[in-house]
Amino acid sequence: MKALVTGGAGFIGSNLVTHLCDQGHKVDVIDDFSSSGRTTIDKRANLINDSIANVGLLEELLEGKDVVFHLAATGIIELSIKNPTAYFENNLMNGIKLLDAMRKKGVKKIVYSSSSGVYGEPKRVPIKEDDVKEPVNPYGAAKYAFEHVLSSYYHSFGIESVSLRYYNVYGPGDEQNPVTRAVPKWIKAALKDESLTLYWGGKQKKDYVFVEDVVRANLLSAERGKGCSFYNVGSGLGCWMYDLAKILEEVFGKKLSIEQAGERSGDPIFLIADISRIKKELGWEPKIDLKTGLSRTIEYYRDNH
Amino acid sequence: MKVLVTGGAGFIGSNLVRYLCDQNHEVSVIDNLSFGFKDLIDKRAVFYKGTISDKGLLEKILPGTDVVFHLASLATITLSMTNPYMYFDNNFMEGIALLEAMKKTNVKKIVYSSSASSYGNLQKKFFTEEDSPQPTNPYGASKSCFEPALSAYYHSFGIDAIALRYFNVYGPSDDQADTPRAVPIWIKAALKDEPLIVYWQGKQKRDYIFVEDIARANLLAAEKGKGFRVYNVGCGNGIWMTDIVKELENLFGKKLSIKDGGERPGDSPYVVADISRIKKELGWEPKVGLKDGLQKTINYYKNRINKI
Repeated sequence: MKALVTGGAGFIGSNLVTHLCDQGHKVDVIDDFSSSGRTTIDKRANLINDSIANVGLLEELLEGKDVVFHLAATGIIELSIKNPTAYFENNLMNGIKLLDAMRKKGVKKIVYSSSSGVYGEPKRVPIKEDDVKEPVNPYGAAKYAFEHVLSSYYHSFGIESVSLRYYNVYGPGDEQNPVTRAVPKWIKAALKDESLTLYWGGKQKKDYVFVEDVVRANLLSAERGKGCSFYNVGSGLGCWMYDLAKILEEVFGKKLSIEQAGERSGDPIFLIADISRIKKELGWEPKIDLKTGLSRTIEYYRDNH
Repeated sequence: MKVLVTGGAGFIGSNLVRYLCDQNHEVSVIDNLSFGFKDLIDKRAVFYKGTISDKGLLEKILPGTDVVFHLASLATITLSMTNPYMYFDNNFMEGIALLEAMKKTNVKKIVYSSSASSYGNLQKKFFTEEDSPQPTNPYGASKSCFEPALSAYYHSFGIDAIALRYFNVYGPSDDQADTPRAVPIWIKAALKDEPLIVYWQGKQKRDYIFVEDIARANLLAAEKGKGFRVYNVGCGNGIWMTDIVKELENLFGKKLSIKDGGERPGDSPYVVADISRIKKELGWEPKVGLKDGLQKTINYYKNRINKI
């Protein structure tokens, strides 16, 4: 396959690019390095340092492509609350520019990195794809808004799309700066013998999924996804945040100090995926369990920081 | 109440403005007159010609406003397919500009005119608000994708936001020159003794709702709506397009000639609202039956026969 990966220098994107190259696909990457935190990606991919808002360039890059993996996004919830307009421009309107360029170039398939943030505060867990979606911040709203756009581009213009709603993705290669995600934050803290910040007394249940599993879901979507579809991508298992801290202690083989940080608004207490749809329709399921995934993540930060 | 109506010179907007003035509310209107008509705006309202992306203008009008009725939008499906980006820029990003201006001027409530075209081709008899939107064209997507933004602005910034998903609205003052809507097209054709173009042999079921009922739903949403909430606004009963033709023949007292328009791609066979949520939560229900509504609409166009 010939693929274009937008945001291919980011955490998930760079992992996806490596996986695609490993599988012998020909990969172009466009990334403006605005939030990646990295400077390099897999050498087998062709990297273009620019924004997807550059329509002329996009059209050149799309020539002859079979599929676009669209991961480019600004992804920090707090910043989306500070500047909603910028988030909608980036995560929605620039995506529409991408779709129009695809339309013009006859590229007929897109795999879109959506987010469990589309659901907002879920009414029940595990969450099914058809459950009510009421995003609670501009980031989640922009992610969900683009799914509506994809629906219309499928029906009006025949562009097939798969929206993958990621839960808590973790793993090697997460260089996001500033760090907002718990796993890299905690691992970095533990490596420096600093304390781990725990919200809500750790009594939040989240769904942690390893980045390689997420990457496989992307490729399967490109190969098997049909029409316009939406899938949860998670482990399907809830993990208490204090249990996550315990597993880290186990893997580090030492007691870690925890700092209780109280409550944090806009952060759902329970966020767990029902993954039966993607299992059934794409034949995907997570392969890496939390303990294995965390040790590999720790190794990465040990070697790279 | 002190209110602002965006798109207040349009078909639904102008009906809403009149209704709000009748109820003694203090009404401002903003409309760029790209599709609306200044003459349709009730004289009791204060009119500002401009767009809602004009930050300065909005920040001048908004202070002290209790609620914004947001109707301004581009609304022609076929044009949205020729220029999708423009539709999203207008119907979504300009809406964000409005929300940002509301945030800045501390206006805490918005009633948004959404659309049943959010739903797309659901394979079911009645559409409920909990059905996941699957819009089939950029217009529908540009309307529906603003709803998640409203949800976010409620949760993140405390702006109460009520989205009303209109089904097939009809009534007086639908003066849009190239209106895509069947009722005004048919009535105008009948008045000019021209044939009525009927698609799919009329075997489509739609939910027709009179514009005055829509205006009432807007005011109730402003008065009673809380948090972020989405409501269907329709009559809750499906009617075959062939039955509308029959009702028109009844009211005109003559046989109307029909021209077969064939099968129009992208049309759904059924688009009918389940209206139990709005009945229960806002106490709204439609009051004007199809016969009365059509009669009022015919009268409107009869009085402007030289203009149609």
